[in-house]
Amino acid sequence: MFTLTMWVMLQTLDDYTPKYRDRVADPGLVIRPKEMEITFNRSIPQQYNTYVQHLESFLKQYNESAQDKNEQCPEGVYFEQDGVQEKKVCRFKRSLLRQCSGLADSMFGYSEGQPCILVKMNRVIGLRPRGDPHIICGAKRELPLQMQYFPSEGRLDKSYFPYYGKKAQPEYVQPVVAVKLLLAEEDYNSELVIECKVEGSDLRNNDDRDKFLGRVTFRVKVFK
Amino acid sequence: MSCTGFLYGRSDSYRVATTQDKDEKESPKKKGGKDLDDLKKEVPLGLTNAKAAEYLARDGPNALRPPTPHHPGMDQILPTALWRLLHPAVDRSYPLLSGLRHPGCHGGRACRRQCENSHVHTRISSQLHIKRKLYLGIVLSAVVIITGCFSYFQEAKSSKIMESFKNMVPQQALVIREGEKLQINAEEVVGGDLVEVKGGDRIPADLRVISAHGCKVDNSSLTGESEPQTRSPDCTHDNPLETRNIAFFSTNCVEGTARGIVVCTGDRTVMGRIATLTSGLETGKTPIAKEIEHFIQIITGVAVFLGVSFFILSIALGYSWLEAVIFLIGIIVANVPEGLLATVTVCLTLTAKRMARKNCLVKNLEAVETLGSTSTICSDKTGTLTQNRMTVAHMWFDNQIHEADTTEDQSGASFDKSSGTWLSLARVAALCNRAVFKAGQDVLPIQKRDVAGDASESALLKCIELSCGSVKAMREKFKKVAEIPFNSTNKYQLSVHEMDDSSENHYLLVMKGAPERILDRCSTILQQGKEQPMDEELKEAFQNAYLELGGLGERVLGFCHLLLPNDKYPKGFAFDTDDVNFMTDNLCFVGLMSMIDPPRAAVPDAVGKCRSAGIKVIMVTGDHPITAKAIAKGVGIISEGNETVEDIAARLNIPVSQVNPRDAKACVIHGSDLKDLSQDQMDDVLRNHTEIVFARTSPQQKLIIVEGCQRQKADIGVAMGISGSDVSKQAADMILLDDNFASIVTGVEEGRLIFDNLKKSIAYTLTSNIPEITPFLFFILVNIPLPLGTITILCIDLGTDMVPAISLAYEAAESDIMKRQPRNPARDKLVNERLISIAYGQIGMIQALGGFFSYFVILAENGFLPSVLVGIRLNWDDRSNNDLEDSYGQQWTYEQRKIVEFTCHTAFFVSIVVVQWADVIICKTRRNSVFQQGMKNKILIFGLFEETALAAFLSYCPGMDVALRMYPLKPSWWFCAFPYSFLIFVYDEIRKLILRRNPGGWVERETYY
Repeated sequence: MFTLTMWVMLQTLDDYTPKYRDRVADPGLVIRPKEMEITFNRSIPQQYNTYVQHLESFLKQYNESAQDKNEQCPEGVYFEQDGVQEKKVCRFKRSLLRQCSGLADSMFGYSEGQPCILVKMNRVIGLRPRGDPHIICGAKRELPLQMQYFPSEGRLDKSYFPYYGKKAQPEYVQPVVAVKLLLAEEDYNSELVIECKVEGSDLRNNDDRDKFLGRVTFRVKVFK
Repeated sequence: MSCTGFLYGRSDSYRVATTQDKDEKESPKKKGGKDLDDLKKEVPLGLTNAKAAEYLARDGPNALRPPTPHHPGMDQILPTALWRLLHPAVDRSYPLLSGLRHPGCHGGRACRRQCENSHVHTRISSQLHIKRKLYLGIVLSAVVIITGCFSYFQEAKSSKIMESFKNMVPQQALVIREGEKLQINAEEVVGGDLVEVKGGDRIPADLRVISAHGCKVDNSSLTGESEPQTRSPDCTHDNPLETRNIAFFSTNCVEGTARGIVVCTGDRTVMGRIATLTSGLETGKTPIAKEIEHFIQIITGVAVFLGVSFFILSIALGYSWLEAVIFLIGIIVANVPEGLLATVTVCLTLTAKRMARKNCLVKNLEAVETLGSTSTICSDKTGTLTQNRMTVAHMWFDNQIHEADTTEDQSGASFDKSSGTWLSLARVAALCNRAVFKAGQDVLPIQKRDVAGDASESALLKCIELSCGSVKAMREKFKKVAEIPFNSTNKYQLSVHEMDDSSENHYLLVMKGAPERILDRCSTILQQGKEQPMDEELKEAFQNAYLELGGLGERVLGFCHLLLPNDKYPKGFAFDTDDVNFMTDNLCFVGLMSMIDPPRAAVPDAVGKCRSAGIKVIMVTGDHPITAKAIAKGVGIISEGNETVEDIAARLNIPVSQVNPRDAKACVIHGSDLKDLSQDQMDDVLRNHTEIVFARTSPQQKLIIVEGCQRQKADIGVAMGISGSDVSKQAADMILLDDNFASIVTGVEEGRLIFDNLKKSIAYTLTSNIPEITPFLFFILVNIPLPLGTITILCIDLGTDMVPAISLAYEAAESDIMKRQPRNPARDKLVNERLISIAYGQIGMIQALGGFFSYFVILAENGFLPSVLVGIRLNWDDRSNNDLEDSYGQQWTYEQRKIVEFTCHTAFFVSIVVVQWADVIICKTRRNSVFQQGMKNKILIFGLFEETALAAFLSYCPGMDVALRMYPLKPSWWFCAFPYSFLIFVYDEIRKLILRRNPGGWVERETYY
């Protein structure tokens, strides 16, 4: 009986998109390295090696070799493929991240005490963020913290939306924004609380309960 | 004493008391008997006030100490009292266990979370969790307290009714102290006091009568004898209960006056001792308490078994010791059905209320079921089986027996009243009668009016008033000129009346008395209004009639009259009653009238019901064996065609000793024989005779009988009639408000019904335990997200399951419950393995599948297919993981997937509600099909709607997501469990069908609970 009803239920499901997506209407933000507190001494490599390795392995999927077979999509517009049978994937090369790509500086700035943090937005099937979604980060303190965004202005290009699901787009990579924290001398040895938000679109970033919806908060403490 | 004990063996403590008692009881008599004349000289002045005060201080007040009831009184410290009253029906460990559930479960989960979490928000959210735990704790405590209050108020209400039984006005007594008559509070009477009582008074203490004038007392509350007894200063018997010179505490003086010396006060009185003995009987647990204990054992067994096996499993699966212990505690406490305590209490309360409406006041909730498991009822005759008033039952005149109407409402047959003989008989009965109606009762029906006078005269008075109109008018018409009251030497009562002027004769002599004595004085007999000489034939007819009426257990009186000849007794003749100067023989016999205390209308039916219900009814009475036997036959305690040893002997014309006692199913045992019976013989009698009557029994013997019954069975309960003394009522578990035996049968019926219905209710409540526990087990075993949370479990146990479970208490009986044998406490348990197997093993499993199905549907429809769920738990519950990928490649934040998880909890909860619809319908019956039983239980239908509405409310009400973390469901998710609901219904209907088709078959042996 159970098997039968389960089977019937599974038959009713679509292979490409789940029946209901209302519980993931808005995407969450997460950072790489996947830590909520990033603490290291810039002169002791053992302390930041895990972060660097983590970033490196995360960025593997954005390697030139992997991305070459993907489409170079027109920027600034949705890459609509609703009627298309075989869906293509837009290219996101790791070189877009420049100093934070790990290509020039394989230490992602950790060794010089100006670490790169990658911010990515959760994949949600069919999501089409309106406006001009971009990531903005800020330290929770009086003085502003200098930061550098890659790609420029922390933009999440519209061409990476919408997502058609794992089955239709197995090679899909979501856009990433790298934030290089340009720590000044006085910022070392103290804890910084940094919040990144997605702005400039209809994506929610101020939910009371879900602190990861359209935003992410983390701590950074770098020792000299 | 209208005491009805239904009793089975237990207790040995009072055996000693019974034997001791006899010696003590002798003492007042001996003391009283030392020298009557001395006493008389000593006492006229009574005690001095100082002495009285001294004795009062020494002996305490003259009042019965209430027996220590097995629930504490209001005067105890409230918390303790509350705690004890809180769980009259349920073992103390049970609520404790249910209280444990929360700290254990939550502490456990919080702990686990804290271990897993390393996130900044942990601190904030654990605060949130602590808040939620607090909130749960409050809810649970509230449940326990409310349930407690419920039973507390029920008992308080009963005790209030009890209070109202007590006389508000304190009893007064007239004592003579220092030669002065004083009206004092009866409580202040002390031993040695000289007390005066008159008709209508209550005897304030045990008295040794030193002088009396026509004093009669009603000892019925003590001995069951409804006939008032004369009290005089003569010691007539060795037994203090039989002797005439002792008047007993709390009995009533019916007429006359008497003076006596107080020999015993308070608990030392005969009544006090009997009350103490009665309360000594009432110990031990009630059957339902035992059943519930047994039930808790089973539940605990299952819980511990599950807990331990999962403990071992989780260790084997590689969980840490701490986690395994947390799981162990979690599983054990999750098995506690929180709502059951309340359900059982409410069910019992409802039945108690229903019984109170049917005149059965239950003082102790647990006693509700006690009557249902009764196998023997020992009932007193007077008042309970009979109406407790003498009524004219038969008359013999014109050589024919006529039947009078003895029914309570005068609905019976009437007889031919036109005969001249009847008119004469009525005249004699009305005139030769000192009973009068008390004033101011003209509006009342004749039968209900109070009469001043002894029982048989009242019976005659009422009979004549009913059939011939005003006796008062008749007495005014025939003025009484002389009278000889009844005394034991001449055994007749005589009076002479003036005839009115129209008559030829001036005077009419009327006489009534013992029939043979009356007949001896007669030379003629009235036939059809004509005087005829008495011949042998008529004498024989008289003898036959007399024997026949006597054989019916009725008290027969003979009536005769004579119109005194004018020549000898001219007008104005001075009749001298002391030195009789007129003729008292050669009278004219008129007829016989016989009286009996007739059985209550509903009693034969009730006794019949008891019999078909397999309950042995034993009658215990202080009356004469013949009367006792006649009443027993009249109400069916000795059924038609059943003979006693004596009957067989008479029929076969052989001596009693030659009759095999095994042949006689019925027996009548005389109190004096009872004394000589050994314990074994007594047991033998109780075992081998189905129909037993004990006649001429004293209160002590009643206790011996009860004890004998106890030896055969297991439990004892005491039921009292309303006319019992306050003290015995306090000791009783149950009080019959109308003193009617038929109310006991109601009690039995209700008790049996509630036992059945409690089974159903428990089966229903337990079933949902499985869908509540399995989610947790799978959470541990295969690491899926938790399918059902604690809050939702509580919503089921304390919310949606409550009303349907209670509504099962209103379920009508499946078959005639009064046609089966009493429950065997050793075999027929409230909760047995079969019930557990049905609830847990079969229906519960289907329910769990239904719940899991909706759980999987929701997760799958949101993107998490079952394949990814297994093993996902650690990531799922990881707060720092905010990009958990589902089967479609979407990524979820912690909060997002938790909302889905809580939606699953809600859906699982709703599914349980849906499958519980089917469960409550199948629990309606244990054997019959629902189609046979019907859906007439309105409360149950209400319950179905109520639980559905509550579930919808919990799911859809705005704010519930914050308050209880329950989320709105999509309409289609409500239907996930429907196939399972249907399956449960069909499955159980088929099981019951096989069970009915195959009585005694495998299905019945294994699944009939």
